[in-house]
Amino acid sequence: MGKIKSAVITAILVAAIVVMAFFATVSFGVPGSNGVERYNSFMSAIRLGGDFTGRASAVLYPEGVISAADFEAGKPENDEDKLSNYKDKYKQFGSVYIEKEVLGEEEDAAEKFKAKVKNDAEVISARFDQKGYSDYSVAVSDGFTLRVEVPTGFTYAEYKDLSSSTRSEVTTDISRSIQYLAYNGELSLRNSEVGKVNNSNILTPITADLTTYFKSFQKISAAGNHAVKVNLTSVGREQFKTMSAAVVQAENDKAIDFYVGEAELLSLSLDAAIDEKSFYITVPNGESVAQDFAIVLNSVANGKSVMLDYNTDDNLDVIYMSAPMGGLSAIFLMVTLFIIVAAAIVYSIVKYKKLGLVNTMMIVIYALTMITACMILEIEVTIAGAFTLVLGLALVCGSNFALFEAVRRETKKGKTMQSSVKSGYKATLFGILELHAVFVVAAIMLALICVGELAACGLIFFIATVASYVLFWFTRFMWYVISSPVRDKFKFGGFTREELNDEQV
Amino acid sequence: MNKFKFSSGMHIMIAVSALIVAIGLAVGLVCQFVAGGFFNYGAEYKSFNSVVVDYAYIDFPDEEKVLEICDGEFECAGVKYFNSVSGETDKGGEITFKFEKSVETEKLSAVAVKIAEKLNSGDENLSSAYIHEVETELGGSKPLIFGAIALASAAAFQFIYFAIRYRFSMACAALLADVHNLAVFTALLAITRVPVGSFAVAFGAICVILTMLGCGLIFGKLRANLKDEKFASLDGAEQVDASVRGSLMNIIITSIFMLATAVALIVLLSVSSMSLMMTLGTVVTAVLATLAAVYGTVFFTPSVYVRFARIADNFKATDKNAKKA
Repeated sequence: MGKIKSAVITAILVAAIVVMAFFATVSFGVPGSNGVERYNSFMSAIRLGGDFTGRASAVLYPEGVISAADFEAGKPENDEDKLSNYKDKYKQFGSVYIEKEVLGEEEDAAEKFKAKVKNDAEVISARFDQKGYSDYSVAVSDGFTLRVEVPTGFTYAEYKDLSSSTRSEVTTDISRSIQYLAYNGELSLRNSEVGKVNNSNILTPITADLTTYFKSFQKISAAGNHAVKVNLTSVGREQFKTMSAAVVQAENDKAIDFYVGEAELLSLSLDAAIDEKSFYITVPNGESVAQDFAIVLNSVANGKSVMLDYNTDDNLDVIYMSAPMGGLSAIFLMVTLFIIVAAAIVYSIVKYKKLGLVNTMMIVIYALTMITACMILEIEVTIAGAFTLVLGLALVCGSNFALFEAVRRETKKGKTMQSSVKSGYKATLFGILELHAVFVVAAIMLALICVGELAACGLIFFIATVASYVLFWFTRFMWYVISSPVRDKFKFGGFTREELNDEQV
Repeated sequence: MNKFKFSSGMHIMIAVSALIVAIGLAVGLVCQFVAGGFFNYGAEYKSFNSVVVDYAYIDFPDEEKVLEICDGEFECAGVKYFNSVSGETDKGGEITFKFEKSVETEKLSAVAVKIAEKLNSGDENLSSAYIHEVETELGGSKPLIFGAIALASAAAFQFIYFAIRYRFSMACAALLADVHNLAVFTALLAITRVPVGSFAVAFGAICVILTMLGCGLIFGKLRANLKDEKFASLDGAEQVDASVRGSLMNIIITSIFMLATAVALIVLLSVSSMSLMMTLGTVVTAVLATLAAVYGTVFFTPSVYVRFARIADNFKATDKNAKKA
């Protein structure tokens, strides 16, 4: 390859890397927007775990249970009788007050109430388990309330309120999830015309066991539309055929509504009777809502119902807490990763001279690839995720160093540089390929089988492994391009060619 | 390291590993009955007591002032919280101080009353402080179960792949290395009592992946070297030692990457959170995962593999003799 061709290719690639690196790392106010519009870098648009951007926390109070603060705030003033009645209405248990009417008069009423709360905690915890949060907690607080904590999954820009619109989308999703996943009551199918002969417009007979109707509910997303897929059992299919045939005949209300307790989750509008194993119901409020509905319906269809009403519709206060590792922890995480990348670059250049620059290029491309992938795929990066990124970097560098050492060994045999590179690649190719193949399979298993943080680590490692293998080959191309105009190709990589004596030859 | 015999001393390695696992098991079991858990579970799995302080921005526009009052009262009462986080409410701010379950609730209640009194020194009582007893023993089993299934599947895949591509004895050694390193990592978690959260499962996976990487490098090197006649004529133990030496640099580089990240995170995140204890758990877990993977891969696996290879060779020889006879 000629000098000009080599210089042009190198210049184009370096320019592309510099531009990409700029947009990936630098956030700035958009000029001409009077500071209103802001460009947030790729890095500041990566979702971060709860340790870096805090957690959302909410206390769920069952109906009839209030906090000590609310009890104090609700005290009637300047009226002794009202105050006395107010005090008589409640019984104190630590930092919560419970209406005596709700609690009941039995001796073990408090224990029974606590047992219901514990049962609800288990059911709600199982529901949150399916949300795929990197970590979460559903705890019984003071015996009578539930404390839910989920990671916000904010990006750095959202955490620092530099991206208000997307932050409000995230907070809305979290509030809705806590609200929906705490829905209490049984599953019922309703229609205001066909079901009006029954209590609450319920379509199915009182004796019907709805848990035998449904196999599962799944969230389905495609082309920006979201739906819940309802999978029926053979019993359910028969029942739906009968029910839908009756509902289609109705004059005005031609829909089967899915209720959990007294909350309507889905409405299935009908043109004709349904005789299918499964069908879809569109959810207009986004993917998170579709997922929440599918989770709640799955839970109640399997007989796992929340027993108490947590009043989440009216007064759910979700508090977005600060990052437990400090407000700057996200910045420090990025600084740590930069230090590791810088160390890898310095080591490469010291050990392999100009060839180290080729490896540097690969390291930077790897870093940019991972930043972009984490941003686009909305992967939540936690501390374990950061270590997985570093593991991927080690794989990129390790593969190249193994190659460089193989080439060095070949040069010591007295071969030309071209021949050494060829032999070096040949010697390492299968080992590198096998290693990457095993890792790709391991990463896919982690990503597909696991949930939460581990699944995120699996996905990160999958991308890192694929990137590492592609970059292993790209190294050869760039090595060829950059070293082409160089006269002493051995010196380029810090290698020395062994001069063979006559006996060795 | 040039003359170090990695493949020798299998008995010592097995004894060391067994000792680590036994100590881990003993410490874990004692703690299960005495300290409330086999592991020292992290915040998301552990029950705790908390003091939640709500304040109004009208009275306290600066959170630091509230923190100062609370810290003063906690210090007077001789209680120490392990974590504090703050957030915004409709009226102002809320700070949650988390305490170990062992901290007496009566003491905390008294402190909460004092904090509320100090915060409400004005005409209106806009601030409050209450103690809450939080029982967190729910959730968390799913990541562990699914993680175990995924890792078992990955290890099984590696075993099959190694058995087909390399040798059956190498596949057995690699599988044993995965199990061994994970056991050592788990034992170290139990011994060191670092807080174990959901991230521990992720680091368990990283430990297994590092082991896979190490075994892949060593056995890949061994197989490549065996093509050389001079190398093939060496004793089995010498072959393994030479291959470990040849791949050691890559294993060490990977480990150094991980350890350097851990050290940098310990330093920087401790500065960020103003607490070493806050970051120590997660990062020490990373260090333990890396150490377990390196120890098992470099010292335990070669010595065990040499025995496996000998057994396989003896078996082959016996089979060959039997056929001849």
